[in-house]
Amino acid sequence: MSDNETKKSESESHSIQKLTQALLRRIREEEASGSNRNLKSEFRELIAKEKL
Amino acid sequence: MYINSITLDNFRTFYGSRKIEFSVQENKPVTIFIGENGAGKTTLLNAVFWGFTGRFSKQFDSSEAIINRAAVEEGVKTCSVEISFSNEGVTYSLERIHTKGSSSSSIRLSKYDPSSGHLIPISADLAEMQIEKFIPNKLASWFFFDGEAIGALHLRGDSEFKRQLRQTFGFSSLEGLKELLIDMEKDYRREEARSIKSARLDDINDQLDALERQQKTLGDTVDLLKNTINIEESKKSECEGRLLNYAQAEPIQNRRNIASTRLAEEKNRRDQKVKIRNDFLIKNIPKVILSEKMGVLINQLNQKEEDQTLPEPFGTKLIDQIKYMKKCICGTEVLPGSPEDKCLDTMLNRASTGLLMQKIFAFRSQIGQYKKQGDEYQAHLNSLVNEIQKCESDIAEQEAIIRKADEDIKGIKIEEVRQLKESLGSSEAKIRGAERDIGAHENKMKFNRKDIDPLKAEQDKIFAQQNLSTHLRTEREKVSKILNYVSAEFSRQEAEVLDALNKEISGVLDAYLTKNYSAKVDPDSYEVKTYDVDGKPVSLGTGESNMLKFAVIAAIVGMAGSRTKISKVNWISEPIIAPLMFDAPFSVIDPVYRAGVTKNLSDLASQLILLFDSGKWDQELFDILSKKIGKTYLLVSKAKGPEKSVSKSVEIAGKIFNLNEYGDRDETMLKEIQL
Repeated sequence: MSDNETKKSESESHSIQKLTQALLRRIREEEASGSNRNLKSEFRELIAKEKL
Repeated sequence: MYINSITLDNFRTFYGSRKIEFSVQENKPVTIFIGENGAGKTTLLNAVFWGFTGRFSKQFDSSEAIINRAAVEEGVKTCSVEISFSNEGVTYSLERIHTKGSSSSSIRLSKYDPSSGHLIPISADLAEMQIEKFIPNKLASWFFFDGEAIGALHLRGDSEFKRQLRQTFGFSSLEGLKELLIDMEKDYRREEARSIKSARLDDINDQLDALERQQKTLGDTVDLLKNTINIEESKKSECEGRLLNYAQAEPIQNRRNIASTRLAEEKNRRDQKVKIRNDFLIKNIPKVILSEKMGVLINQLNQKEEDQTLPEPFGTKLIDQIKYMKKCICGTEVLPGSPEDKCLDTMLNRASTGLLMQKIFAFRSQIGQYKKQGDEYQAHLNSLVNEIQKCESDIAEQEAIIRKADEDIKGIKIEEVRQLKESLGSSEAKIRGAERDIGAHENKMKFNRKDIDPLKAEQDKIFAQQNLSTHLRTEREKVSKILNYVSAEFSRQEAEVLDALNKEISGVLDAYLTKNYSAKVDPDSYEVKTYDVDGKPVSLGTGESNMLKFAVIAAIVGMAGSRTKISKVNWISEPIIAPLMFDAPFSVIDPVYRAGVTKNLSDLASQLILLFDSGKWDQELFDILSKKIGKTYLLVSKAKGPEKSVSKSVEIAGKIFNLNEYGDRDETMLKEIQL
């Protein structure tokens, strides 16, 4: 793997981690509120904003 | 989360407003309270528990009004607790208020704004949600804990225990995210397939839709069944808890039944003996009476012999007189040497040679034989009478047991206990049934997945052949990447958590038990099992088991707070970090394990609040905790009325402190002491 590829992979991994944390935070907020709101469309938007 | 302080306002035994600050220093995370029995330790624990959850612990008598009695007499209509706590660097103020006559309470949550120095109120709707985030209502009893109730906690691993543990470790959020990502990936795949014109793809889509619908139905059914298990587990646990509190009629009834059987046996035995005695009497009564009479005669003879009043040989004086007068009273002359004189000599001789005495002795010997036989009869009769008396005494004893059992059983709600047992049995049957059905459904789902995977692979192949670079595919691939990451991290974290739990708990067992035992958490049921040195499962005694439970609690809070030394977990999800607050923490702990448990808890909890009974506090505890104690309070019982000579005190670090006072009302006083 070239340096560029390694850097790209690291950056992607970092983005995935960050995004996962954001998604988890939203899940926890919904769990705590006890609502049954479907988060799919909200998550679609959140993921669409990220370049992975 | 750290609790900074609590302010009690007319809450139960606390009159007026009382503020208590807890130690939040990292190197001194322990706050201790010491008070005599009934001083208000459980009240203080419940003030915190109620503040966060609106509920009271099972051990707390909440039927009593929660507004201070003296305050009510003064016209006060509300009571409240205000908890100041910090979470992730933000300080909050939570106030829960109870108004007289109301069955519920209200809360006010505010957030401290460091820039303005003011508290900013959080809306009531969000307040409950925020608190639930800091400390989930159902998990509160894991953190704010009555030590005496530890026996009721069980580590046999049911779905509720597993669910609560997983929630503590943040797994439920991970599971939720994973499911959502799987669903999103499916949606993208469906949408992508719909955008391509291909008969085979349509067929695959139909098959996948059907299989996924089936999977969804099966999954929903499994969820419902799991929910049923949760409901039944909690019903079962409640039944078990209530049954523990009730005196059981069964042992009393068993005792009564045994006594009843024995009573019937004894009565039967007595009746038989009475019959034998009666028969014996009828058959032998003349002999017995004769024996008694003979006995009297012998006694009389013996007495006469002793008194030397046995009759003289009869006629001696008369013969002497006849011989002297030479004439009998009938007028016949009795001349010396005459036949009459010789006859008189013979008679006199017979009397004086003791022949009569011989006859008397022979007679006495004869009646002695009768007497001996009579005595034997009497002895047998006495033995029968004794046996009958013994039967009567046993009968009285069994009747007393039956009377006592009848009295005891009067106080027992037999019908309620019967219903509880029935309900327990029904819950167990439903759980077994649901577990069986879950197994069958999951097998079916596994089987379906074997069909789904090749269909998806074929779908991917068709997608690739179409060479479409659509937005949908890009998004699906992004979701897949995140899903792969979450799945891998979830598996890693779950494995790390279980491994860390095993190490932590085994570490405690290794450090404090003489036996070479280790502990392992079952990955499926979360049951905490113990093993001997050969790896064979072993059961712990009650004392060891209670110590294990404290070890589990300490390991959980220690891991969540990253304070464990043996193991560390790299958290992707956020575990719940809450203070541990124990009332009467070591009352059920065997004294040999107390030091170990105390050390373990104080090492692992990020904030530890301990409420000690003064009778259970000693120098050993002080020695273990002294370096970690940040704050020490005495709960002083103030009693209304004149001072009595009875006083209670406690020794802390070589100093004696009084634990009771007298004044104008009953109340709990708080005194902070410096050690």
